Amino acid sequence: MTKRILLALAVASTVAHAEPINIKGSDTIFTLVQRWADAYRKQKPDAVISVTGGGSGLGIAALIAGSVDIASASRPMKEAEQEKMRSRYSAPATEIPVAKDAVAIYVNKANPLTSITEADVKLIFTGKITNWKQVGGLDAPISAFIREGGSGSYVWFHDEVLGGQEYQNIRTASGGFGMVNAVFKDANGIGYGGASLARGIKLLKIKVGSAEIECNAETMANGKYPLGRLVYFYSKKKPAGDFTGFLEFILSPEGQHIAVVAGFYPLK
Amino acid sequence: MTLNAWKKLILTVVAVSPAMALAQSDAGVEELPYPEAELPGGVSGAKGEDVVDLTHRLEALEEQYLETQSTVFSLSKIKLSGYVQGRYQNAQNSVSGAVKDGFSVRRGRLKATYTGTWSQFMVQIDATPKGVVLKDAEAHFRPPVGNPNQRTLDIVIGQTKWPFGFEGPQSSSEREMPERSRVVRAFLPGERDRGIKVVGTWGFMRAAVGVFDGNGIDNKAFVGVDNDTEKDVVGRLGIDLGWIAAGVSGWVGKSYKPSDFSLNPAFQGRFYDRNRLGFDLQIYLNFLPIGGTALKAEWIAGRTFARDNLEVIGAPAIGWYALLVQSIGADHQIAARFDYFDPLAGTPDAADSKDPTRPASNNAIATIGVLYSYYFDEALKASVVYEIPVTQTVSGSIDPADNVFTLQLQAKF
Repeated sequence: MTKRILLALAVASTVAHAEPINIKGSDTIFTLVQRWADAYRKQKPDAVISVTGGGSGLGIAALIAGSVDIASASRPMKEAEQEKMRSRYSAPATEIPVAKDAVAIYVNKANPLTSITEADVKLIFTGKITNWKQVGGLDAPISAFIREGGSGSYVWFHDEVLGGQEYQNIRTASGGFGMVNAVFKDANGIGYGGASLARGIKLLKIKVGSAEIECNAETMANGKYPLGRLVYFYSKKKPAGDFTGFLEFILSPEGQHIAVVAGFYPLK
Repeated sequence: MTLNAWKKLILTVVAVSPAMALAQSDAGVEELPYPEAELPGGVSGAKGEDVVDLTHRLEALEEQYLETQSTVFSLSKIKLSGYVQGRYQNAQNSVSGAVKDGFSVRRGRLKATYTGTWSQFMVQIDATPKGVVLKDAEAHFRPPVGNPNQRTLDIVIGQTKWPFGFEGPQSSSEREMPERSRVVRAFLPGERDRGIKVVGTWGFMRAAVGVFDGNGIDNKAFVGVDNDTEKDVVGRLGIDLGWIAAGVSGWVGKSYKPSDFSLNPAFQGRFYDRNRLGFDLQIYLNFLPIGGTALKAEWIAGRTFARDNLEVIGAPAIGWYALLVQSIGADHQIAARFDYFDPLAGTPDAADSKDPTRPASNNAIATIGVLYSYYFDEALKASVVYEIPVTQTVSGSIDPADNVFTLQLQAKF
């Protein structure tokens, strides 16, 4: 009997300590959140943090459905999503910016172009510009790749860069890594995504007037790079328990340094 | 060899084949930035004589994929949704009162939406044992101005909800209490009408205004028709800061009462005011560890309201409600609502002229309702509600025993 009581107490103790933190959502910050979780576990070995991707939309849908505690997102929550949160949980989701990200315009290394205007990017992804020659490049058809519909980058790009206009004449690449690989393989490819993910491809500077603005720490800090955005955690309630500790770590200089190492930018 | 052993062998061959193919790839080919494992929809970079055939097949598949993708992209603009509310009710006066004891299908909604670049189409029907009726039929024109997340403009024409207050336009699947409050049911019977409205969002500002026939879709006297040339103007101006939202609503219109010489030979048909003024407030707080707390309230006063889906033309009325909702954890919700409605506001309360022991039908009614809801998952919700209507009485009359118990299960997709 005593053994059973001790066993029950041990189980209860384990349960009490292991307050799991389930985070689901953005593919863009998936690796970053994993790095934060790994680093935090070194400080708090009993921390249980589960990180899964799938896209910002999927993460927010899971948050509304109650299957995860925290959604990670590379876009702000939509009004309709907040309305569902308010109806379901009597309160809006708590929005916590965790880092800054720069959305970069990807092209293949073989592409001689070095910069592009935001207007031309819009015309390419809405199918109105179909040849690189039209934007000062080679005479070659443009292969425009977009992210899948559940992706926060898809929504952010659609809203911010295309101004809500429909994507046209495009192909879909699955996941942030898939987007990089697609542009890497296609000499005429163009895509978009987190600057942190770019490997083996070229990032185009953005022309603003006569200036060509490169995506870097300086232009992100002074706000000159036009395609900067915040990335977020959304939770059902105000941070409490183990999540508070994890969040404090993320927002600490150490956590923000991890973001910089991962290719993101600090909040301050 | 057993069946399981064969299965294992086949699985092994299938699993090893891609690795063998990759092993034959040219040494000079630059590697992908990310490994295949991290590329769910990626394309293999394998080359070589043995894989030329596979490459051709892959290209063929890719072509088919692009065609499929194009089709799926179009289909993704079409959305079907809906919900069913099955209900059991029992009232203290089930034998003689309006609420009968028994089961019912309160709502059986099916909604189809198509969203294009500049347009949206939406049709919603309600299928219940009483029949199938059209609830919404909306044609939207949505010019792509500014950032869709910060500024939107939506012009809607068809059969659509009046942009008045909070509870009226709110979806019945999202509302906590199974039915709207008395004052909202009286001033916005059926919540919909035929007309045109413009809805705009500018940051935290919300504005909507529309021109409608005015009779609504549930007016028994004029279902589907406008019996006059007057149009009603309805609108709401509000703010939404996430944790607090509020608005002021207005309605200016006329209702025509036709001549009916069989009832009153002296009466000539004439127009009466159909006006409303409303204020609504919603506060969402997250200060309790058990879950969110919401407080919602609305006040409406005006002339001409509906009773049993017939207009009481030109009569003044006033009412309000306050609703307190507390979420407990992720799955439980409790709520309490106080709802007050005074038809023929300003008229003294009286006893029923035929039965002096009963209050008159124009006396004010206060209703206290309490609710418990359990969310099984995102699609299924069970609600138990108990409502206690208290009718104002005068000396000699007594408040009728008409408390109502409701058990409702809502399934939505």
